[in-house]
Amino acid sequence: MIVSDLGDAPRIWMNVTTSSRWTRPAMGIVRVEQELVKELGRLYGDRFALCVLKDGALVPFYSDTQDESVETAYFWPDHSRRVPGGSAVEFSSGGKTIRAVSMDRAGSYGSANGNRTPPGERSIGLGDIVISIGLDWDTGVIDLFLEMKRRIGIRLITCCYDLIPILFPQWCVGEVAVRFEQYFTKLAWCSDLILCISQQSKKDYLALAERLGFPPVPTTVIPLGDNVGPDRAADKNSLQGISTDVAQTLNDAFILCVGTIERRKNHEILYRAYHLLARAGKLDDVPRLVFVGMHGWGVHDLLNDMALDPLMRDKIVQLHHVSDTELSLLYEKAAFIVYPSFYEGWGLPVGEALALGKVVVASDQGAIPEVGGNLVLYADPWNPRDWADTIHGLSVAPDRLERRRMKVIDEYHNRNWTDTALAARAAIDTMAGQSLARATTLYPGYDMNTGVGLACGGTVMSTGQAGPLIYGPYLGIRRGVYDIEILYDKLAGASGNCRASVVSNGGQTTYAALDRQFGVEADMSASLLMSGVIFDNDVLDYEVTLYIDETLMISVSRVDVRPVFQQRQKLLAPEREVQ
Amino acid sequence: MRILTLSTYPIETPTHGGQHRLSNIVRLLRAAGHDVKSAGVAGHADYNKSPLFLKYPGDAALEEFLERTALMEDWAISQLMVKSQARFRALAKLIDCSPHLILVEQPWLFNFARAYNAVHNGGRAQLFYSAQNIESALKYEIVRRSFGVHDAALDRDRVLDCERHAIRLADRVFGVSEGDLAWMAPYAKAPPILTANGVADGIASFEDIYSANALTGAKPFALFCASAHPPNIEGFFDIFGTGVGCFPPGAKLVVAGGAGEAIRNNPAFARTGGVADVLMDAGTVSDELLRGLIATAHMILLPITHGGGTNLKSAEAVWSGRHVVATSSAMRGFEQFANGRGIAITNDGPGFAREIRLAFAQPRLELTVEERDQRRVVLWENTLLGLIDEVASLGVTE
Repeated sequence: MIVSDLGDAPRIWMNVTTSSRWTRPAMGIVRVEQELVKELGRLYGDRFALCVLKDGALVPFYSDTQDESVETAYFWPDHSRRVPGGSAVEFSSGGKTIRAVSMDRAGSYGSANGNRTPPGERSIGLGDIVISIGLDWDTGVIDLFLEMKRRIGIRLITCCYDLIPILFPQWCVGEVAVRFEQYFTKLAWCSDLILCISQQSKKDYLALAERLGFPPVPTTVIPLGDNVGPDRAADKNSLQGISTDVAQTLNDAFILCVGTIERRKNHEILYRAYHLLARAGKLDDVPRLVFVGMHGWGVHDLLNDMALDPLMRDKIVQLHHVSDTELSLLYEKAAFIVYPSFYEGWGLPVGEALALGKVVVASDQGAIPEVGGNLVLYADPWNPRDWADTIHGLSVAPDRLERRRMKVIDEYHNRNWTDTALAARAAIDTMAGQSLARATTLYPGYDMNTGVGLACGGTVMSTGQAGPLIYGPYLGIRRGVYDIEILYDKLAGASGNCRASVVSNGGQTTYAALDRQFGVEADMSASLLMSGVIFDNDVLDYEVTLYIDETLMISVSRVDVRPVFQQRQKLLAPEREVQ
Repeated sequence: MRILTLSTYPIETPTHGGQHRLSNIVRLLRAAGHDVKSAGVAGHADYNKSPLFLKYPGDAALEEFLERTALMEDWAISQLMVKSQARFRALAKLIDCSPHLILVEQPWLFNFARAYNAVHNGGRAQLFYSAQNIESALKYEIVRRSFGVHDAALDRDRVLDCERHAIRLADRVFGVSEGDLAWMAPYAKAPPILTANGVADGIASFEDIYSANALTGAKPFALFCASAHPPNIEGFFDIFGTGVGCFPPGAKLVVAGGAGEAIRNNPAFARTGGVADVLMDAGTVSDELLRGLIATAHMILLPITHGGGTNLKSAEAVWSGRHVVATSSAMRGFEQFANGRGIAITNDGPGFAREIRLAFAQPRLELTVEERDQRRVVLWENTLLGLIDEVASLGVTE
């Protein structure tokens, strides 16, 4: 058996914590996460694996075994229900004093708490790629990513859906702008790639980076799919399993609006448009308006207005808890679709409606024009008269509506989730091809510990005591051959001895050691070089130490860890068989 | 030579820039063999007591000269000290030293100095005016932000009269930058002399560094040293008011001096994403701790977007040998270092963010011996040489 079943190729993990906790039909972000899981699974096969956040660690999602510790039901495209396995990474010791964590036979890391990865299952390892595109601002996983990046060098791919909480906090719950600014700042510092679901979200993200000052992270746009999958496609001729409310709705002509009923989605302008039509005596000219979606925040007054307005006469209907099948039927049977949102990072319902050949009247804000192009009739989301005129115009001119419908059918090019995944794959493959054995510079005052010295910025200075001047950093290092160099300054007149070493496993495994004697020569800036240090396996907790005599006045400014070029690595450390 | 300095702050335990400047003037004059006394009127109730200083007169006393005294206390004191016979006599009594030279730091007590010289000193003393700023321009900016342009213009004109008066009537005039000298020159009897702000040389001890590490956790940090002087706070929010995302995870922005509390109490603080996590308010720090902080800092920030004169914190930053990210306003008077290794000049938030990220990504800066020598001109011993020489040239002996 070789060190890794997958050779040197990093495994690609997808964090599905959001889906694992979701208890309703998949919409929005949850739907994107689940569609990408399906597609990336097809593209990457065994290299692709799922993980979830559990007890402060990212753990593999590996079996179908029932486990009551999983908090919620788990809706998945294939209706399976999986549960977390062994802990992928153990960070319980924290700070700079992590204890050694044993590697399993697959070269990855089991936890020290006995909750080990089962045989044949590999946990998140050095340099693996982790994709996380869920509701990460709610799970607290970002801090864990920062730590995993530092400790084991994961490459992280995240997602920017939109910046609505920052750009339009007035349409969100509470003071969210500052919280999301912090979230996106951390995201930038831990991500290697940020997927943006539209050019608009990319533009917004880059503007935010400029404003907040966080580092510009590479971005890739992945336009979302709009194909309604086989599990969502409805049997148009059967009403089996369809609720009474939905069935009754289907009996008459109606206009459909899909999306959570919240202020940003701007259902209010549709109510106002209908109110204006009623006052003008035109209400009977237009079909009923059907809202499909949960009640969100800030719409209490709107719902009251709609319920109490004597002009409305039940002209606006709400449907909740609509299944995928019901939703597909509603899309199919609707006269046309309306989508007045003030802002969208993409606008999934617009694409889905167009893909089904439906006429769409939508707001022209955010990324919606990217989705609909010239096939959508646009209306001003601030102008109810505009909406009233457009809805009325389409309702009283069936020929015009039909011509628009045919134009949509002829000209709309469906986007599918496979293309979404392929756009992501291009970026993932580039990342996967990058070498994992990378040069690292450690600044002892920041990155390591001292026993007898004094940290002064990144430097550690001796103070006249004998003992460990520097030790650490207890990080992961990819198997290979490295030159490890300790750069120091020595004061004139001071003499003494020192011993440098490279160890792991709490000092039980030694990879290199070097003794040096210093005379009382003049000030000098020099280095201790341990060349050709061989790590014949991935190591989680490598440690560089420098012990000094009390007479040696020395300061260490940095430690360079450089991989030796590949050819030499092969000569010195051929891939080893594990017994 | 007997020398009297007059100011609106005592200098025994200097904290803000003006105190440091005057205390170094006094130190160097004494080192040159002169007998120097420092007197004046406390311009704020929080100043420590000092033997030759009148305590802060109180708002009620100052309101005789201005309806609104906020931000104009110094000017009101200038009026009070010549228009109130009791106050005049009280300070004159404290002084009682027959000086050969009266050096007035800032213009506020210049009229008092003239009157004292004439009434109590037989007009024997030379009068030197040492300017730290173009006070009228600075006053306009400060008042405008709190009380609007109308009040600001009125106050600017009041201060302008006061400082022009000092420049015109002083026997010698000193300024902190070439720009300030050029502004003052048309009003002065003789060409004004440059006495830029500087820094005292000092080496951090192990104890200083231990203290700093105890505060910062020995994590990478950027240091911003500033008082609660309004331009410092405005500059901070001008630069960082949109966010502090440029600080890597774990890195801190340590604020030493009164600015920290003023920043935290500013309404903009709560609106600035991430600043509560990044900012570490060290408060007013001792000289020892400040040395430790400078020695351990990864970089020093000078986000000063308003105010005239020169910032002695800029001299401190240049001399520190750390990375420096500064506005061009902050580097006024130190332009020769603008291209120095590790010094980045930028004037807006995105520019600061970029330079801070770059600096954190680099090793700490260590100056060469040659670079260190080039920067010696910022030490007080060198920046104040013009003043010390000018005093010596008076040729007064006991």
